[in-house]
Amino acid sequence: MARRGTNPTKVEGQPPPYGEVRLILPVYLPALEGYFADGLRVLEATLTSIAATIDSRVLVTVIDNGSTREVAAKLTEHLQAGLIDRVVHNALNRGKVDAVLAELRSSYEPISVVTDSDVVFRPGWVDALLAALEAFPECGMLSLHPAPDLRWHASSSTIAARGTGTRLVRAPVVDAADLERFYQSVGRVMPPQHPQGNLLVSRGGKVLGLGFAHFAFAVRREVLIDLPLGPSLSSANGADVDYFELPADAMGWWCLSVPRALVHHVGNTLDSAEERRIAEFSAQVITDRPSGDLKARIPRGSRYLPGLVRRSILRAAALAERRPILAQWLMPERQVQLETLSATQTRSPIPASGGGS
Amino acid sequence: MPRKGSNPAKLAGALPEYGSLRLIVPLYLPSEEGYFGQGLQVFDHMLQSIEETTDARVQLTVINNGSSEAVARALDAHQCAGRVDRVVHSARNRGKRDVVLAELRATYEPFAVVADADVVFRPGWVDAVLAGFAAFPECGLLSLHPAPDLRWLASTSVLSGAWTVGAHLCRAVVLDHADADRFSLSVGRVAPPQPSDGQLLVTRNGSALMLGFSHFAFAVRREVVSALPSHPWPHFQVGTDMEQAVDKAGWWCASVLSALVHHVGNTIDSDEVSRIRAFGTTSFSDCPTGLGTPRRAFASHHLPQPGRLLMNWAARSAYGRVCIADRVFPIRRLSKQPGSAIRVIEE
Repeated sequence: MARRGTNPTKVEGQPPPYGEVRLILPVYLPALEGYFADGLRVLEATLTSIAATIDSRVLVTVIDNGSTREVAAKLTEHLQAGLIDRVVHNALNRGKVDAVLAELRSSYEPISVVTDSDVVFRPGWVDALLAALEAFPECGMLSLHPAPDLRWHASSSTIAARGTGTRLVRAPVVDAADLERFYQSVGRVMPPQHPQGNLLVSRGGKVLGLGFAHFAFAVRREVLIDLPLGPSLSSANGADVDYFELPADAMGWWCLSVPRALVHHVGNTLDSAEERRIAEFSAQVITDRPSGDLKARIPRGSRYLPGLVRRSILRAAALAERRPILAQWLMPERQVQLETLSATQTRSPIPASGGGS
Repeated sequence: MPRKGSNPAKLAGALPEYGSLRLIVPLYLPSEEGYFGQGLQVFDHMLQSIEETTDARVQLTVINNGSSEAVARALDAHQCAGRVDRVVHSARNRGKRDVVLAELRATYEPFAVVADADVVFRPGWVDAVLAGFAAFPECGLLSLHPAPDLRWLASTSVLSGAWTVGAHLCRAVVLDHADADRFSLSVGRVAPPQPSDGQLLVTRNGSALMLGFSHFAFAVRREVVSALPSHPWPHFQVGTDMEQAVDKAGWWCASVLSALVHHVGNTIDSDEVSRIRAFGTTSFSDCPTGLGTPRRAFASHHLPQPGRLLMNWAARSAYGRVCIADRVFPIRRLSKQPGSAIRVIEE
């Protein structure tokens, strides 16, 4: 007789519960030299930051996308130590888009956060994220870093819904230090910001910024059904947009960003100056509190807009921004005070210029 | 400056293509004693069988569902040796149903096969599965082992939709008793007696599938994945909500006529090794005609739930009444075509 006894798990207990947020971290370190020389140290900094800023609501998945055995061994250590809930080892590099989309679909949590393996988190980010998604049930994708320079990208649904219980306003809420830190991390100079401040969507005293960047972003589970099913088979720059924010925007979901950085992008090198920046960033605490109601809602009007209309909306809004009278009418300046500022944080003014970006 | 240089991966261009079929094996061996004592040995036989019966079209995923560290190390070694394409380590046992559905949603291949970690495969099984899906584009879930005793479970879409797509329901004696006996022996049960008039089949153009679906080894068409339940299952014991949901969405759930897999169980001795060897000596030579275009029969796709329940009840009642059964499920003198898991010939 080939089966002897009864499988103990089929008679005892229940599977452990899932959390509220699934944090998905794709890692691609095919060698520990050249561009990837500091990769393992940066990954360790990311995992340390995650360990310091999450609680039992967050479960961590790491996708080892064809990395070296040293990376695999490091991930196994963290799996055994209990920080990581799930590790996926792909024998071949499947690219960020395909690996991440697969893992998003695998998740049972209502919210997933996808982050590159070279970011660190600000304490309080989980609460801040949940509070933002609660305040805007229409928000399907939320960048964890402000991206005001991408305000005319994947924002047609947000703009089309203006006036339906929400307003578009301008206010200087994004901390220039956040933007400067990001642009420095990618080796670029920060472009001049709009003199009247950042474009925001506002409702009931809460604001989120227009503009979406995907080095660290949150996705509602309801959005996944609207994302492409087929593989992208590409790891080129920009392959992500056709698989994440553009289809989400086309299906009526709002793609927005938090007004204050919840993450800091480290980059591929880690020196003492960067370690100091990480320490400073990690000392600032966000104190938003969610109430516990995470239901999603798509505004009907923005779901069924054809692509041509969407592109026209974005074009018209971008043109209107340059005409002061129209801009004042469509996106008036407002005094917006962010409810939560960390105790240790100091605001720095955003350098104004006439052009915007 | 923290970013120095350009990420070579972003300049690499196209990534490797996916195959035609993803084989998914959930593995739960929390210890190496008691019930699980010979688990790793059984799994090694499975891997050997996979190596011998698959080609480049098939890529293997193994889900380590909270197994011991020794098992995790063994899986990593198998991946280094190139036997496994993807290994998923879950820190805790999430139950078979949740991890399997999650992995099915994460799959990009047009077909996936889910098999328990204690089965071995018969040569030719990949072609037989693809041929089954090609012959029946309405089929969403295909069991790799005949399951005639489960013919009334998740079969409403076949019962209601077959007549609208040129297929016929009939009865014929096609079950190989050796298959049934082997499976019953592996789970420590006696094979239930089969009706003298045979098994319930759906046939079309010389191909046939058997009604009845079991999930210790089954194939899935990718289009079905959106119909799979998306909520977690609160028990370790696998339920039938997966096949019920697929049936409700209008896809057919059926099984092949001959066993493509052999269920080993949790122990292995010299007798079992002989059975595995004997099983591996017979092979199939089905040839799939392309991957087929999936479709759902209109009648089964749009049948409301009360209609489904009524249809299932009516079919079961008809089956039990000889004169009605002869009209609804006529007895035909069909036999399996030698070397095929889906082809039949009229005697």
